[in-house]
Amino acid sequence: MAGGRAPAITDLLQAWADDDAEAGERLFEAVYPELRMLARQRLAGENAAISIQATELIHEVYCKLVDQRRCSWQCRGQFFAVAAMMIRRILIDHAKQRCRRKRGSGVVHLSLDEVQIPWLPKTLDVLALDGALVELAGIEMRAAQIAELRFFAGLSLQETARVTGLSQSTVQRKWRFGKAWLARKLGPAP
Amino acid sequence: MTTISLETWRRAAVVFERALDQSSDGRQAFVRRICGDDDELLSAVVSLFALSSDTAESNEDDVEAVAVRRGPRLPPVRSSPWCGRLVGRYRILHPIGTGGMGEVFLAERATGDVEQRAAIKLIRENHPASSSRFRRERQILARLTHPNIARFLDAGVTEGGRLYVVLEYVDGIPFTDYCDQRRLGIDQRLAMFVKICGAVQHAHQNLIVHCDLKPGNVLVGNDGEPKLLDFGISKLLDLRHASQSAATDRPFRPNTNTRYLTPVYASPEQRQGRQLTMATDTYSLGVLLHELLTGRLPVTDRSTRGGHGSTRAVDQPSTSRGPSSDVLDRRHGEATADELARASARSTSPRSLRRRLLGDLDAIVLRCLRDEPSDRYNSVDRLVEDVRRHLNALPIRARPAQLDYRIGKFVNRHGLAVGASLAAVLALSALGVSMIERSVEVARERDRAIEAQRESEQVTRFLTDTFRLASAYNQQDPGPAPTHSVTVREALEYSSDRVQRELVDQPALRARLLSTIGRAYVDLGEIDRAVGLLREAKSIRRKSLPIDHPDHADSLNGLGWALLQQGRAGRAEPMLRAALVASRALDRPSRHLLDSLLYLGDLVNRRGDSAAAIKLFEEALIVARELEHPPSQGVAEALTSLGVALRSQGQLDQAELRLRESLMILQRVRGEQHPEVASAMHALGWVIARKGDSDQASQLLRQALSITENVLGSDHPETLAHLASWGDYLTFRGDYEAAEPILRQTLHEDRKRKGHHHPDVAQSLNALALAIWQQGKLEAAEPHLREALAIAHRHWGRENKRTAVFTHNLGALLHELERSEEAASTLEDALEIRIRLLGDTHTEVAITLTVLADLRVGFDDYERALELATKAETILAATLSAQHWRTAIAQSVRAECLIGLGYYEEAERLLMNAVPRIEAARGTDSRPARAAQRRVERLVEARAASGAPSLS
Repeated sequence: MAGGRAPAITDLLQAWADDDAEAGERLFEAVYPELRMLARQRLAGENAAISIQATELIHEVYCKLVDQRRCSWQCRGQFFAVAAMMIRRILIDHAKQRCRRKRGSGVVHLSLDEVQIPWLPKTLDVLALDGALVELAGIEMRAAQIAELRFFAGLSLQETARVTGLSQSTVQRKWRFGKAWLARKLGPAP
Repeated sequence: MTTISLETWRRAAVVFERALDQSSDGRQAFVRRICGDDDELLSAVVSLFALSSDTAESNEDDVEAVAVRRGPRLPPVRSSPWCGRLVGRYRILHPIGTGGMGEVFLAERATGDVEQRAAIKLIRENHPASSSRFRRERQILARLTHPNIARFLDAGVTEGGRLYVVLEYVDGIPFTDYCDQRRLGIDQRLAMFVKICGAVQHAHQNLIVHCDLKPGNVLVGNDGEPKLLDFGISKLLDLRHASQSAATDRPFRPNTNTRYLTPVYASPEQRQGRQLTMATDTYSLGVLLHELLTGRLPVTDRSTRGGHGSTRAVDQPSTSRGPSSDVLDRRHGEATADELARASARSTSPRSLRRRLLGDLDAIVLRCLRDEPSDRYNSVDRLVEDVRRHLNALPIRARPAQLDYRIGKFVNRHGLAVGASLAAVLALSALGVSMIERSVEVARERDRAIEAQRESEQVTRFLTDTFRLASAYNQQDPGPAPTHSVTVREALEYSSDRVQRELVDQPALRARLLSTIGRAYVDLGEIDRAVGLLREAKSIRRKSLPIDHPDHADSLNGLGWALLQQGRAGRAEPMLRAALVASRALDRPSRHLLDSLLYLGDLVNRRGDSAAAIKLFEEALIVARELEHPPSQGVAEALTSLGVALRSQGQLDQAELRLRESLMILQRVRGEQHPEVASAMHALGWVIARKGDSDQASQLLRQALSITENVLGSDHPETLAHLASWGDYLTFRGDYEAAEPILRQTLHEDRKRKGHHHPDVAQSLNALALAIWQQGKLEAAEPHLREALAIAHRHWGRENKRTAVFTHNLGALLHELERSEEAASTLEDALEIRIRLLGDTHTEVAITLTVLADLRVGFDDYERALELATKAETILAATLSAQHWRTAIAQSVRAECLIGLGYYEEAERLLMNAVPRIEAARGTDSRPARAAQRRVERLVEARAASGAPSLS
């Protein structure tokens, strides 16, 4: 299956990188099921609080679906950007389901191994993080977008700059704001 | 958290980000000043800073940076017999390193109550005695104070007879490591390099040479400031040898301390033990710059040789390659891992790093690395000047002119190749030949042909004599070979004098000479003088030649062209049209016909009627292709003109095609360094700019400017026109601060040369107004625009494309100034003119519609605004592209209409698409981007007010 699909996804990515909006839609349709399935497998059977590393998931899907030799940097960036959005949605859905079933006992944690923030625990409750990001988007949309790319796709600052089309210094400033704000929101009470 | 409102957080975000740009010392004061009495805001910002520190930042952020980091800062502390001992007034604490000269220790001042840390260098060899010269030198060094130089504190001899030097202690790392760790880009690296040069410059002014510049001697601490160590130490060491040789009576050789030098940074003269000057430091600075830019040391022939005193190395120049060739090996298709790593440490890719270094930076580095000290920059000042010019996007001086253009152009005009010596004389005898051909072509009657031939011979003899005489007259110092000591200008002056004096009784010859000289003056930019001569030629011919003589067309063309260059299009047009009629009447296509078509097309195009211009240029191209096999200057000229006209019609692909062909022809016929090549590059650059490739565009435009500056000099009108255009381009690209001074300069020059009411002055005023306006200085921009508009009304009238541009700009400015009524009427005016002249689906119509829509939003007239914005967006998507930033702006205005009408979902979708596009194209802090960001805020507010869910 993966072999058959690989070139198609790569083409979609390239087309999308060339500003073909429709390709974005079709890309979403093509990648989302794969990502969700993989996440479900990973999350299934976990009864207690679990910790998941979103970036690992994305890389796995990436390797599976994308022909890396033909994929330009831009298309790689696009992939990670869209996958970050998807994985955030998947994890939230999953956490919400667990909450319904287990009355709050099954918290899903996001592991922040790649993006360490001082003053924040190494793992975060996905729902709390999502709520904080929604609120942050209301304050500074760009900071929230950057945080999403950093947390859920594991992009470096430089990669984030390229995906968002912002300058690196702008990304840096906004990221510092976002981090500090999130640390204040989610960190241990002072 | 709950105590701080969302609105306060939004403001806190802005304050926080602004504060990050401040130095860490000034940050607190800055935040307090901005927050004023707003305690809630202050506490929000302070709480953010409590959770974000610089140190945490450097530990994180870029995983890759860790890989670049090179081990611990200092060698582990070792014990040494020197620990705890007193040296001068300092107590040695522990060793911090060893260098070629000896050991280095951290020390502290042992006496007095001031706590002062210092670094002590103990020179390995013993020092016989301290001389009075040594003491004097020590005093000079102690007086050397500069923020980027580690202070020299003391020097002396220990009890055991070892020389020591005490320096300010700098806790830092080599500046090359620092730049790599922070992944500083080329601009930031150059800024640091300029600081380093500033320190060297300061020392040179105090007659102190460093002679051992290398990364280990340029450290950067946490404050990011480079500090140069060990200034003047080599001199102290020299003195030691001087006193040694005095004691032993051996002949004194300067700089025998070369054995301590790091060979790769040492200059050829240093290695050969020759006389050292400040140029030695310039060489080392070149090596440092190369390393800073590429991450590698420059490759020279010498690097592989021993080089100590080898005389072969003196004779053989090194074949240094520029830094650009050291960042990407083009022989392999893909960049190697090493190339990728070095580029990534500069926050770029190997390919764009190479592009960035090509040209200017190559030339600067190579100029520093010349073997002969006298071939390098005269002083570090000059080096700094070039780096600054490069940073300010001005042409640098390290790239020399490749031919004496002023003779070259005059000669080339007549299709000749010329050797360097006696160029002028040869040129003019050949000129005669081309005139014979021309005369034969146009004069079919036998007697006329004979007359013409005789005349041509006379022309030749006359001009040849003139140049010989002028040459003899001006050559004050006759050297072994005739040189370029006579400029064309001087020769022209001399010959026009002679024409006036001697040829009174030969009207035809006199007219032809005057016309030739007049046109040469147009080329030299001295148009007033040209017009005088061309007028005279015309009136002589009218009196003396039959009415159907082809030379009349030449007179009319020449004078019409000169008048057009003076901005007097109204006077020029009837002449050029008459020339066109006259030359069309000849039965074969001629150079006169080509000239008429090109000049008239140019005139029509300047007036803004590019459709009519295109027709003329297309005819010109056909004529030129008939006249020239293989295609040469005339074809190229027609192609360039056609390309420019196509560009203003918005036919970018067609334009690019013509301009590329033209550039190719010119480079073949003219060589790289020629103003006509520059013109073609310039035109092509703008087409590329409009197509969106700003890297390639700015490269072409800068190259064009640098060519004209090199070959014509910086005050030539053509150079100034390129400079003005470069200013326009910087504005176009959004770099308004860099553009403003350039545009002010060109405005000043335009006024000075062309008078206050010249149409070019109007263009300059408009360009300057835009640059000022986009920096947010709205009030300052208004008078410039109004003046531009007044000139436009006077020259072109109301119904003109250019007048419409200025009218539109004024309207848009008034809108931003919130003088809505005035803005509305001005913009309606611009819209009406534009629709009438361009049709109602033209890009410029849509641009005016966008502003009008935004204005309507301000009146809360959302329905009408939506109608206008939708129309604008549709036109822009069709004429530019759906992704273009102008389309995005129209889209964001449409979004705002939808917010006003309560359609939040649709508005959000539009803004999500539009904002990043505007930010990417114009910069996040640009005015259009900020306007779009405000629209996002408005959406959030409107949603919050209506109780709808916030962004998901």
